Amino acid sequence: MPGKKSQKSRASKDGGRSQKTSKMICTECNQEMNQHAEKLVDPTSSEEAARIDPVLGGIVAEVHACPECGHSGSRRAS
Amino acid sequence: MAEACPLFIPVILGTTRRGRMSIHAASLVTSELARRAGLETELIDIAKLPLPTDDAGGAIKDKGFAEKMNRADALVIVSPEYNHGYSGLLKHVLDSCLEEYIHKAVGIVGVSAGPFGGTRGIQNLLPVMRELGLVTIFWDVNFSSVQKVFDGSGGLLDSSFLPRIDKFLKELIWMAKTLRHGRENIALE
Ligand SMILES: Cc1cc2nc3c(=O)[nH]c(=O)nc-3n(C[C@H](O)[C@H](O)[C@H](O)COP(=O)(O)O)c2cc1C
Ligand SMILES: [Zn+2]
Repeated sequence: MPGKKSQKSRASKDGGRSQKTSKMICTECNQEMNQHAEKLVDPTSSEEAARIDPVLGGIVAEVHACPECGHSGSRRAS
Repeated sequence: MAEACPLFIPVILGTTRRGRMSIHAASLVTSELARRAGLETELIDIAKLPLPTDDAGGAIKDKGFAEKMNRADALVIVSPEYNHGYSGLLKHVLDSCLEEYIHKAVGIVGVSAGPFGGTRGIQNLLPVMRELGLVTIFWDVNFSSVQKVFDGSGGLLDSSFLPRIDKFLKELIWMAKTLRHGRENIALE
C-alpha cells in the first residue's frame, strides 16, 4: 500500500487530478464520508475559469455521502 | 445509513402558470407516494420559491430548496409541455443546484393538453437530467389531454392512471434505494 509520501508525489505528477486522500467529515454527524463521484463542472467566473483542468476541460467536483446519516457534501478537487 | 431511515422523495411542480393543470398531477403523485411505508415526500411548488430572474445557477440558490435536494434520495419532476419543451422556470430552478443531485434517481411526469402526454418535453429534459448527475428511470407518467383526466377541483376522472403511477413509483423507489446504497457504501476507485 503506498504511503502518504508516494500518494503526494502521484498527485503532483498528474496535475493534482487524483482523488484527495483526506476523507470529508459529515457536518451533521461527524462521521467519515464516502466519496462516490467526481463531476466535471463548468466555470461561472473568471476566477473559476483560471482553475480549469487543462486535460479534462472543466473543474472537478468531488461528491461525498455520509454512511451514517445520508448527508451529501462536495468539494472542488482543484 | 440505517435501513430504517425513510427515503425522501419530493415532487417538484415545474410551472408557475396561473391555472396550471399540472398541480393536479403533482398532487396525485405526491399522495400516491405518501401512502407508501418507509418514505417521506413533499410537494415543492416552484411558484413558492424565491426565484430571482436577474441571475442564474448557484447564484440564485435557495437554501431551503438546496437542503431538500441534499436530503432527497430521488425526485419526481412534474413537467408540463410548453411549445414541445419543458418550462423555462423549471430549468431555472433546477440549475440553481448541482452537487446536491448527483447519483440520485429521477422520474418524470409529463403533462400536456395535447395527445402526447408531455413526451416531447420529457425527451428534452433527459439530457439535462444527465448533466445534473441525476439517474433517470425507464418509466414515465404521461398525462395527455389533461383537462379530461382531472375535474376542476383536481379529482381523478380516469383511474387507469393509478396502476401506471404504481409501476413508475416502484421503479423509482428501487433506483432510489440502490443509489443510496451506492452513495453511502461504494467508493469511487
Ligand atoms: C406557453 C405554452 C405552450 C404550450 N405548448 C403546448 C404544447 O406544445 N403541447 C401541448 O400538448 N400543450 C401545450 N400547452 C398546453 C399545456 O400543456 C397545458 O396547459 C397543460 O395543462 C400543462 O400545462 P399547465 O400545467 O400549465 O396547465 C402549452 C401551454 C402553454 C402555456
Ligand atoms: Zn452524517
